[in-house]
Amino acid sequence: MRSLTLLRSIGALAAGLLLVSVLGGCAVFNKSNRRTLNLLDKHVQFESTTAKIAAAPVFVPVGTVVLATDAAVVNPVAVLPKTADDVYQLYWKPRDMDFFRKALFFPFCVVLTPPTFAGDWILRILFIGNDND
Amino acid sequence: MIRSQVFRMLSLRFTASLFLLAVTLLPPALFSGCACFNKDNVPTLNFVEKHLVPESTTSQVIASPVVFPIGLVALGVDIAIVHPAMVIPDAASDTKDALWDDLDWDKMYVTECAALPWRTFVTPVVFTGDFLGRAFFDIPGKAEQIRGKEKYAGDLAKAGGLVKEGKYAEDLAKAGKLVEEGKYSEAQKTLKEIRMDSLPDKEQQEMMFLELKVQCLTGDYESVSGYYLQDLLKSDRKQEVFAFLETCRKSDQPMVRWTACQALLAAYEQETEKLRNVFRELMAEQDTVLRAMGLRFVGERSRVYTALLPDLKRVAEEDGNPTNRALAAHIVEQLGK
Repeated sequence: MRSLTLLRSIGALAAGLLLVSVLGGCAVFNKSNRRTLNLLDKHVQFESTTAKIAAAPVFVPVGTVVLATDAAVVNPVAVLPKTADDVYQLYWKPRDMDFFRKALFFPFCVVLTPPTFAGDWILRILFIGNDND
Repeated sequence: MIRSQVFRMLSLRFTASLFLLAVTLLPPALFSGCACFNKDNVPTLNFVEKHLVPESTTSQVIASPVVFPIGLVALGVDIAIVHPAMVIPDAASDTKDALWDDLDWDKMYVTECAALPWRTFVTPVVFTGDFLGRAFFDIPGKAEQIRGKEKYAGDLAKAGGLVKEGKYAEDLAKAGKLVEEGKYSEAQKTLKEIRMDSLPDKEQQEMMFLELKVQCLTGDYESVSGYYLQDLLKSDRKQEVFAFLETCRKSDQPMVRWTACQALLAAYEQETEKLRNVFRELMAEQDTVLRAMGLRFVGERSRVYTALLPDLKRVAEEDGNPTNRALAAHIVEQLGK
Protein backbone atom coordinates (compact mmCIF):
# COMPACT_ATOMS: atom_id res chain seq x y z
CA MET A 1 0.00 0.00 0.00
CA ARG A 2 2.80 2.35 0.99
CA SER A 3 4.85 1.42 -2.04
CA LEU A 4 1.80 2.15 -4.17
CA THR A 5 1.52 5.60 -2.61
CA LEU A 6 5.24 6.15 -3.22
CA LEU A 7 4.88 5.07 -6.84
CA ARG A 8 1.89 7.39 -7.23
CA SER A 9 3.87 10.29 -5.78
CA ILE A 10 6.78 9.61 -8.14
CA GLY A 11 4.31 9.38 -11.04
CA ALA A 12 2.69 12.65 -10.08
CA LEU A 13 6.08 14.32 -9.81
CA ALA A 14 7.14 12.97 -13.23
CA ALA A 15 3.87 14.15 -14.76
CA GLY A 16 4.36 17.57 -13.18
CA LEU A 17 7.90 17.82 -14.55
CA LEU A 18 6.70 16.72 -18.00
CA LEU A 19 3.99 19.35 -17.92
CA VAL A 20 6.53 22.02 -17.01
CA SER A 21 8.88 20.99 -19.80
CA VAL A 22 6.04 20.95 -22.33
CA LEU A 23 4.78 24.31 -21.16
CA GLY A 24 8.36 25.60 -21.25
CA GLY A 25 8.33 25.13 -25.01
CA CYS A 26 4.79 26.40 -25.41
CA ALA A 27 4.33 28.86 -28.21
CA VAL A 28 2.39 31.36 -26.10
CA PHE A 29 5.45 31.85 -23.90
CA ASN A 30 6.77 33.85 -26.82
CA LYS A 31 5.39 37.37 -26.74
CA SER A 32 4.82 37.49 -30.49
CA ASN A 33 2.35 34.59 -30.20
CA ARG A 34 0.07 36.40 -27.72
CA ARG A 35 -1.60 38.88 -30.02
CA THR A 36 -4.80 39.56 -28.06
CA LEU A 37 -3.01 39.69 -24.74
CA ASN A 38 -0.46 42.16 -26.15
CA LEU A 39 -3.35 44.32 -27.34
CA LEU A 40 -4.87 44.29 -23.88
CA ASP A 41 -1.48 45.03 -22.30
CA LYS A 42 -1.21 48.10 -24.48
CA HIS A 43 -4.56 49.47 -23.31
CA VAL A 44 -4.74 48.29 -19.69
CA GLN A 45 -2.05 49.97 -17.63
CA PHE A 46 -2.27 51.15 -14.04
CA GLU A 47 -0.06 53.72 -12.39
CA SER A 48 -0.53 52.94 -8.71
CA THR A 49 0.11 49.64 -6.96
CA THR A 50 -3.29 49.92 -5.19
CA ALA A 51 -5.08 50.04 -8.54
CA LYS A 52 -3.08 47.04 -9.77
CA ILE A 53 -4.03 45.00 -6.71
CA ALA A 54 -7.66 46.15 -6.84
CA ALA A 55 -8.02 45.24 -10.51
CA ALA A 56 -6.32 41.85 -10.14
CA PRO A 57 -9.51 39.90 -9.23
CA VAL A 58 -10.94 41.02 -12.55
CA PHE A 59 -7.87 40.74 -14.72
CA VAL A 60 -6.55 37.39 -13.46
CA PRO A 61 -9.57 35.51 -14.88
CA VAL A 62 -9.85 37.84 -17.88
CA GLY A 63 -6.13 37.42 -18.65
CA THR A 64 -6.39 33.65 -18.24
CA VAL A 65 -9.31 33.48 -20.67
CA VAL A 66 -7.55 35.75 -23.16
CA LEU A 67 -4.34 33.71 -22.88
CA ALA A 68 -6.34 30.54 -23.50
CA THR A 69 -8.02 32.21 -26.48
CA ASP A 70 -4.63 33.20 -27.88
CA ALA A 71 -3.35 29.68 -27.42
CA ALA A 72 -6.44 27.84 -28.64
CA VAL A 73 -7.90 30.13 -31.30
CA VAL A 74 -5.83 33.13 -32.37
CA ASN A 75 -2.44 31.46 -32.59
CA PRO A 76 -3.69 28.37 -34.48
CA VAL A 77 -5.36 30.63 -37.06
CA ALA A 78 -2.38 32.97 -37.26
CA VAL A 79 0.07 30.17 -38.00
CA LEU A 80 -2.00 28.74 -40.88
CA PRO A 81 -0.27 30.77 -43.66
CA LYS A 82 3.16 29.87 -42.32
CA THR A 83 2.18 26.21 -42.13
CA ALA A 84 0.89 26.31 -45.68
CA ASP A 85 4.16 27.92 -46.76
CA ASP A 86 6.15 25.18 -45.00
CA VAL A 87 4.25 22.51 -46.91
CA TYR A 88 4.62 24.45 -50.16
CA GLN A 89 8.39 24.80 -49.65
CA LEU A 90 8.68 21.12 -48.86
CA TYR A 91 6.54 19.54 -51.59
CA TRP A 92 5.21 22.04 -54.12
CA LYS A 93 7.98 24.55 -54.74
CA PRO A 94 8.99 24.43 -58.46
CA ARG A 95 12.16 22.40 -58.76
CA ASP A 96 14.54 21.69 -61.57
CA MET A 97 13.05 18.29 -62.46
CA ASP A 98 11.99 16.67 -65.70
CA PHE A 99 8.43 15.47 -66.35
CA PHE A 100 9.20 11.86 -65.39
CA ARG A 101 10.55 12.78 -61.97
CA LYS A 102 7.75 15.25 -61.31
CA ALA A 103 5.18 12.59 -62.21
CA LEU A 104 6.97 10.09 -59.99
CA PHE A 105 6.91 12.38 -56.97
CA PHE A 106 3.43 13.79 -57.52
CA PRO A 107 1.36 11.05 -55.82
CA PHE A 108 3.71 11.04 -52.80
CA CYS A 109 3.40 14.80 -52.49
CA VAL A 110 -0.37 14.56 -52.68
CA VAL A 111 -0.55 11.81 -50.07
CA LEU A 112 1.96 13.42 -47.72
CA THR A 113 0.58 16.96 -47.87
CA PRO A 114 -2.33 16.55 -45.38
CA PRO A 115 -0.35 14.73 -42.64
CA THR A 116 2.62 17.08 -43.04
CA PHE A 117 0.31 20.07 -42.87
CA ALA A 118 -1.39 18.68 -39.74
CA GLY A 119 1.91 17.82 -38.04
CA ASP A 120 3.50 21.15 -38.85
CA TRP A 121 0.39 23.01 -37.78
CA ILE A 122 0.27 21.24 -34.40
CA LEU A 123 3.98 21.82 -33.91
CA ARG A 124 3.57 25.51 -34.69
CA ILE A 125 0.51 25.79 -32.41
CA LEU A 126 2.25 24.12 -29.50
CA PHE A 127 5.86 25.19 -29.74
CA ILE A 128 7.14 27.18 -32.67
CA GLY A 129 4.44 29.75 -33.33
CA ASN A 130 5.07 32.01 -36.29
CA ASP A 131 8.86 31.89 -36.09
CA ASN A 132 10.70 30.82 -39.18
CA ASP A 133 12.55 27.86 -37.68
CA MET B 1 2.83 -27.61 10.03
CA ILE B 2 1.37 -24.31 11.15
CA ARG B 3 4.77 -23.29 12.45
CA SER B 4 6.44 -23.90 9.10
CA GLN B 5 3.69 -21.97 7.28
CA VAL B 6 4.11 -19.05 9.65
CA PHE B 7 7.85 -19.21 9.20
CA ARG B 8 7.51 -19.26 5.42
CA MET B 9 5.11 -16.32 5.49
CA LEU B 10 7.39 -14.37 7.77
CA SER B 11 10.45 -15.09 5.65
CA LEU B 12 8.53 -14.15 2.50
CA ARG B 13 7.40 -10.93 4.10
CA PHE B 14 10.90 -10.24 5.30
CA THR B 15 12.31 -10.81 1.80
CA ALA B 16 9.61 -8.62 0.25
CA SER B 17 10.25 -5.86 2.77
CA LEU B 18 13.97 -6.05 2.17
CA PHE B 19 13.43 -5.90 -1.60
CA LEU B 20 11.10 -2.92 -1.27
CA LEU B 21 13.58 -1.16 0.99
CA ALA B 22 16.39 -1.82 -1.44
CA VAL B 23 14.31 -0.64 -4.41
CA THR B 24 13.32 2.48 -2.53
CA LEU B 25 16.74 3.31 -1.16
CA LEU B 26 19.00 2.24 -4.00
CA PRO B 27 18.31 5.01 -6.52
CA PRO B 28 18.60 7.86 -3.99
CA ALA B 29 21.67 6.21 -2.49
CA LEU B 30 23.29 5.90 -5.91
CA PHE B 31 22.38 9.42 -6.91
CA SER B 32 23.30 10.85 -3.55
CA GLY B 33 26.71 9.36 -4.16
CA CYS B 34 27.25 12.01 -6.79
CA ALA B 35 26.64 14.87 -4.39
CA CYS B 36 28.38 13.30 -1.40
CA PHE B 37 31.65 12.81 -3.29
CA ASN B 38 32.17 16.55 -3.03
CA LYS B 39 33.66 17.47 0.34
CA ASP B 40 31.67 20.71 0.41
CA ASN B 41 28.43 18.71 0.57
CA VAL B 42 29.27 16.56 3.63
CA PRO B 43 30.03 18.91 6.54
CA THR B 44 29.13 16.36 9.25
CA LEU B 45 31.48 13.78 7.77
CA ASN B 46 34.16 16.45 7.48
CA PHE B 47 33.63 17.27 11.17
CA VAL B 48 33.91 13.59 12.16
CA GLU B 49 37.02 13.19 10.01
CA LYS B 50 38.63 16.27 11.51
CA HIS B 51 37.90 15.55 15.16
CA LEU B 52 37.56 11.78 15.53
CA VAL B 53 39.79 10.16 12.92
CA PRO B 54 43.42 9.79 14.03
CA GLU B 55 46.16 10.83 11.64
CA SER B 56 48.37 7.75 11.39
CA THR B 57 47.19 4.74 9.41
CA THR B 58 47.81 2.35 12.34
CA SER B 59 45.64 4.42 14.67
CA GLN B 60 43.00 4.65 11.96
CA VAL B 61 42.92 0.86 11.67
CA ILE B 62 42.70 0.46 15.47
CA ALA B 63 39.98 3.11 15.80
CA SER B 64 38.02 1.86 12.80
CA PRO B 65 35.47 -0.29 14.74
CA VAL B 66 34.33 2.90 16.47
CA VAL B 67 35.02 5.53 13.84
CA PHE B 68 33.65 3.62 10.85
CA PRO B 69 30.03 3.35 12.12
CA ILE B 70 30.14 6.96 13.29
CA GLY B 71 31.37 7.97 9.83
CA LEU B 72 28.58 6.00 8.20
CA VAL B 73 25.99 7.67 10.41
CA ALA B 74 27.53 11.08 9.65
CA LEU B 75 27.42 10.35 5.93
CA GLY B 76 23.79 9.24 6.24
CA VAL B 77 22.93 12.42 8.14
CA ASP B 78 24.67 14.49 5.46
CA ILE B 79 22.89 12.72 2.59
CA ALA B 80 19.46 12.65 4.18
CA ILE B 81 19.33 15.90 6.14
CA VAL B 82 22.26 18.30 6.00
CA HIS B 83 22.91 18.46 2.25
CA PRO B 84 19.20 18.62 1.29
CA ALA B 85 18.79 21.42 3.83
CA MET B 86 21.85 23.17 2.40
CA VAL B 87 20.44 23.19 -1.14
CA ILE B 88 17.05 24.67 -0.20
CA PRO B 89 18.20 28.30 -0.63
CA ASP B 90 19.71 27.52 -4.05
CA ALA B 91 16.55 25.67 -5.18
CA ALA B 92 14.46 28.62 -3.98
CA SER B 93 16.75 31.05 -5.76
CA ASP B 94 16.59 29.01 -9.00
CA THR B 95 12.79 28.91 -8.80
CA LYS B 96 12.67 32.64 -8.21
CA ASP B 97 15.02 33.29 -11.12
CA ALA B 98 13.04 31.03 -13.44
CA LEU B 99 9.52 32.12 -12.56
CA TRP B 100 9.37 35.25 -10.47
CA ASP B 101 12.02 37.54 -11.92
CA ASP B 102 11.51 40.12 -14.64
CA LEU B 103 7.80 40.65 -13.96
CA ASP B 104 6.61 43.75 -15.74
CA TRP B 105 3.43 44.87 -14.02
CA ASP B 106 3.56 48.31 -15.61
CA LYS B 107 3.64 47.48 -19.31
CA MET B 108 2.31 43.90 -19.30
CA TYR B 109 -0.31 44.01 -16.59
CA VAL B 110 -2.85 41.65 -18.18
CA THR B 111 -0.17 39.17 -19.26
CA GLU B 112 1.26 39.07 -15.75
CA CYS B 113 -2.26 38.62 -14.36
CA ALA B 114 -2.85 35.73 -16.76
CA ALA B 115 0.51 34.17 -15.89
CA LEU B 116 -0.02 34.50 -12.15
CA PRO B 117 -2.07 31.29 -11.63
CA TRP B 118 0.37 29.34 -13.84
CA ARG B 119 3.40 30.66 -12.03
CA THR B 120 1.79 29.77 -8.71
CA PHE B 121 0.88 26.30 -9.93
CA VAL B 122 4.28 25.57 -11.43
CA THR B 123 6.36 27.00 -8.56
CA PRO B 124 6.21 23.93 -6.26
CA VAL B 125 6.88 21.62 -9.21
CA VAL B 126 9.96 23.57 -10.33
CA PHE B 127 11.15 23.93 -6.74
CA THR B 128 10.76 20.18 -6.08
CA GLY B 129 12.52 19.20 -9.29
CA ASP B 130 15.36 21.63 -8.68
CA PHE B 131 15.61 20.60 -5.03
CA LEU B 132 15.78 16.88 -5.88
CA GLY B 133 18.33 17.52 -8.62
CA ARG B 134 20.49 19.55 -6.29
CA ALA B 135 20.06 17.07 -3.41
CA PHE B 136 21.07 14.07 -5.54
CA PHE B 137 23.66 15.57 -7.86
CA ASP B 138 26.60 17.80 -7.25
CA ILE B 139 25.26 20.96 -8.91
CA PRO B 140 27.27 24.03 -7.98
CA GLY B 141 25.20 26.59 -6.10
CA LYS B 142 25.62 30.34 -6.15
CA ALA B 143 28.16 30.18 -3.32
CA GLU B 144 30.27 27.67 -5.29
CA GLN B 145 30.02 29.81 -8.42
CA ILE B 146 31.31 32.80 -6.50
CA ARG B 147 34.07 30.63 -5.03
CA GLY B 148 34.92 29.46 -8.59
CA LYS B 149 35.17 33.05 -9.80
CA GLU B 150 37.35 33.92 -6.82
CA LYS B 151 39.58 30.94 -7.61
CA TYR B 152 39.87 32.05 -11.24
CA ALA B 153 40.70 35.57 -10.11
CA GLY B 154 43.26 34.02 -7.76
CA ASP B 155 44.78 32.02 -10.62
CA LEU B 156 45.05 35.17 -12.70
CA ALA B 157 46.66 37.05 -9.84
CA LYS B 158 49.02 34.11 -9.31
CA ALA B 159 49.98 34.12 -12.99
CA GLY B 160 50.54 37.87 -12.80
CA GLY B 161 52.66 37.35 -9.69
CA LEU B 162 54.70 34.65 -11.40
CA VAL B 163 55.37 36.98 -14.30
CA LYS B 164 56.43 39.68 -11.88
CA GLU B 165 58.71 37.19 -10.19
CA GLY B 166 60.17 36.60 -13.59
CA LYS B 167 59.18 32.96 -13.97
CA TYR B 168 57.27 33.21 -17.26
CA ALA B 169 59.36 36.13 -18.41
CA GLU B 170 62.49 33.97 -18.03
CA ASP B 171 60.88 31.02 -19.80
CA LEU B 172 59.61 33.21 -22.62
CA ALA B 173 63.06 34.75 -23.02
CA LYS B 174 64.55 31.26 -23.07
CA ALA B 175 62.04 30.13 -25.71
CA GLY B 176 62.75 33.27 -27.77
CA LYS B 177 66.48 32.55 -27.63
CA LEU B 178 65.92 28.94 -28.67
CA VAL B 179 63.87 30.13 -31.66
CA GLU B 180 66.71 32.48 -32.66
CA GLU B 181 69.18 29.64 -32.37
CA GLY B 182 66.98 27.47 -34.56
CA LYS B 183 66.35 24.93 -31.77
CA TYR B 184 62.67 24.74 -32.59
CA SER B 185 61.70 21.50 -30.88
CA GLU B 186 63.31 22.67 -27.61
CA ALA B 187 61.57 26.03 -27.95
CA GLN B 188 58.27 24.25 -28.47
CA LYS B 189 58.88 22.18 -25.34
CA THR B 190 59.48 25.31 -23.26
CA LEU B 191 56.42 27.00 -24.74
CA LYS B 192 54.30 23.96 -23.96
CA GLU B 193 55.33 24.16 -20.33
CA ILE B 194 54.28 27.79 -19.94
CA ARG B 195 51.12 27.59 -22.04
CA MET B 196 48.13 28.40 -19.84
CA ASP B 197 44.93 30.36 -20.31
CA SER B 198 45.44 32.61 -17.34
CA LEU B 199 48.69 34.05 -18.64
CA PRO B 200 48.40 37.86 -18.73
CA ASP B 201 47.71 39.40 -22.15
CA LYS B 202 51.20 40.64 -22.96
CA GLU B 203 52.87 37.35 -22.08
CA GLN B 204 50.10 35.42 -23.84
CA GLN B 205 50.80 37.38 -27.03
CA GLU B 206 54.53 36.81 -26.70
CA MET B 207 53.92 33.09 -26.29
CA MET B 208 51.56 32.97 -29.28
CA PHE B 209 54.00 34.91 -31.45
CA LEU B 210 56.83 32.55 -30.53
CA GLU B 211 54.63 29.56 -31.35
CA LEU B 212 53.74 31.14 -34.69
CA LYS B 213 57.42 31.74 -35.38
CA VAL B 214 58.22 28.11 -34.63
CA GLN B 215 55.32 26.93 -36.82
CA CYS B 216 56.37 29.14 -39.73
CA LEU B 217 60.08 28.47 -39.47
CA THR B 218 59.52 24.73 -39.31
CA GLY B 219 57.01 24.84 -42.18
CA ASP B 220 54.27 23.49 -39.91
CA TYR B 221 51.59 24.91 -42.19
CA GLU B 222 48.86 22.72 -40.73
CA SER B 223 49.08 24.50 -37.35
CA VAL B 224 49.67 28.01 -38.52
CA SER B 225 46.19 29.11 -39.55
CA GLY B 226 44.78 28.38 -36.10
CA TYR B 227 43.29 30.85 -33.72
CA TYR B 228 46.70 32.06 -32.52
CA LEU B 229 47.21 33.86 -35.81
CA GLN B 230 43.76 35.46 -35.69
CA ASP B 231 44.33 36.57 -32.09
CA LEU B 232 47.74 37.97 -32.92
CA LEU B 233 46.41 39.91 -35.88
CA LYS B 234 43.93 41.61 -33.56
CA SER B 235 46.63 42.47 -31.02
CA ASP B 236 49.12 45.34 -30.76
CA ARG B 237 51.75 43.13 -32.35
CA LYS B 238 49.93 43.00 -35.70
CA GLN B 239 52.64 44.89 -37.61
CA GLU B 240 55.40 42.75 -36.12
CA VAL B 241 53.52 39.60 -37.16
CA PHE B 242 53.06 40.84 -40.74
CA ALA B 243 56.73 41.84 -40.95
CA PHE B 244 57.74 38.38 -39.76
CA LEU B 245 55.45 36.64 -42.26
CA GLU B 246 56.78 38.80 -45.11
CA THR B 247 60.33 37.79 -44.11
CA CYS B 248 59.27 34.13 -44.15
CA ARG B 249 57.91 34.58 -47.68
CA LYS B 250 61.46 35.26 -48.84
CA SER B 251 62.83 32.13 -47.19
CA ASP B 252 64.81 29.71 -49.35
CA GLN B 253 62.79 26.81 -47.94
CA PRO B 254 59.60 26.18 -49.94
CA MET B 255 57.53 24.93 -46.98
CA VAL B 256 58.39 28.02 -44.92
CA ARG B 257 57.37 30.22 -47.86
CA TRP B 258 54.13 28.28 -48.23
CA THR B 259 53.36 28.46 -44.49
CA ALA B 260 53.80 32.22 -44.53
CA CYS B 261 51.76 32.57 -47.72
CA GLN B 262 48.95 30.55 -46.22
CA ALA B 263 48.95 32.72 -43.10
CA LEU B 264 48.92 35.87 -45.22
CA LEU B 265 46.12 34.56 -47.45
CA ALA B 266 44.09 34.01 -44.28
CA ALA B 267 45.09 37.40 -42.85
CA TYR B 268 44.35 39.43 -46.01
CA GLU B 269 40.87 38.01 -46.59
CA GLN B 270 39.40 41.51 -46.49
CA GLU B 271 42.24 43.38 -48.24
CA THR B 272 41.85 42.62 -51.93
CA GLU B 273 45.06 44.17 -53.31
CA LYS B 274 47.35 42.59 -50.74
CA LEU B 275 45.53 39.28 -51.09
CA ARG B 276 45.96 39.31 -54.88
CA ASN B 277 49.65 40.18 -54.53
CA VAL B 278 50.29 37.24 -52.23
CA PHE B 279 48.34 34.91 -54.53
CA ARG B 280 50.12 36.14 -57.68
CA GLU B 281 53.53 35.65 -56.10
CA LEU B 282 52.50 32.21 -54.91
CA MET B 283 51.38 31.28 -58.42
CA ALA B 284 54.73 32.52 -59.75
CA GLU B 285 56.55 29.92 -57.62
CA GLN B 286 58.74 27.49 -59.59
CA ASP B 287 57.61 24.59 -57.40
CA THR B 288 54.50 22.98 -58.94
CA VAL B 289 53.48 21.44 -55.61
CA LEU B 290 53.47 24.83 -53.88
CA ARG B 291 51.23 26.28 -56.56
CA ALA B 292 48.93 23.27 -56.23
CA MET B 293 48.77 23.70 -52.45
CA GLY B 294 47.90 27.35 -52.90
CA LEU B 295 45.13 26.48 -55.36
CA ARG B 296 43.78 23.82 -53.04
CA PHE B 297 43.78 26.27 -50.12
CA VAL B 298 41.93 28.89 -52.14
CA GLY B 299 39.60 26.27 -53.64
CA GLU B 300 38.50 25.07 -50.22
CA ARG B 301 37.52 28.62 -49.29
CA SER B 302 36.55 29.82 -52.77
CA ARG B 303 33.56 31.81 -51.48
CA VAL B 304 35.91 33.95 -49.36
CA TYR B 305 38.34 34.51 -52.21
CA THR B 306 36.01 35.75 -54.96
CA ALA B 307 38.42 38.66 -55.47
CA LEU B 308 40.93 36.18 -56.86
CA LEU B 309 38.68 35.24 -59.80
CA PRO B 310 40.70 37.13 -62.52
CA ASP B 311 43.97 35.65 -61.22
CA LEU B 312 42.45 32.17 -61.08
CA LYS B 313 41.25 32.53 -64.69
CA ARG B 314 44.80 33.45 -65.72
CA VAL B 315 46.21 30.41 -63.87
CA ALA B 316 43.60 28.22 -65.54
CA GLU B 317 44.94 29.33 -68.92
CA GLU B 318 48.63 29.93 -68.36
CA ASP B 319 49.94 27.66 -65.61
CA GLY B 320 52.69 25.33 -66.82
CA ASN B 321 51.18 22.32 -65.12
CA PRO B 322 48.02 20.74 -66.60
CA THR B 323 46.75 19.55 -63.18
CA ASN B 324 47.07 23.04 -61.75
CA ARG B 325 45.31 24.49 -64.79
CA ALA B 326 42.46 22.00 -64.30
CA LEU B 327 42.33 22.78 -60.57
CA ALA B 328 42.13 26.53 -61.24
CA ALA B 329 39.49 25.99 -63.93
CA HIS B 330 37.46 23.95 -61.48
CA ILE B 331 37.61 26.76 -58.85
CA VAL B 332 36.62 29.33 -61.50
CA GLU B 333 33.67 27.13 -62.41
CA GLN B 334 32.68 26.84 -58.73
CA LEU B 335 32.83 30.61 -58.31
CA GLY B 336 30.76 31.11 -61.44
CA LYS B 337 27.87 29.04 -60.05
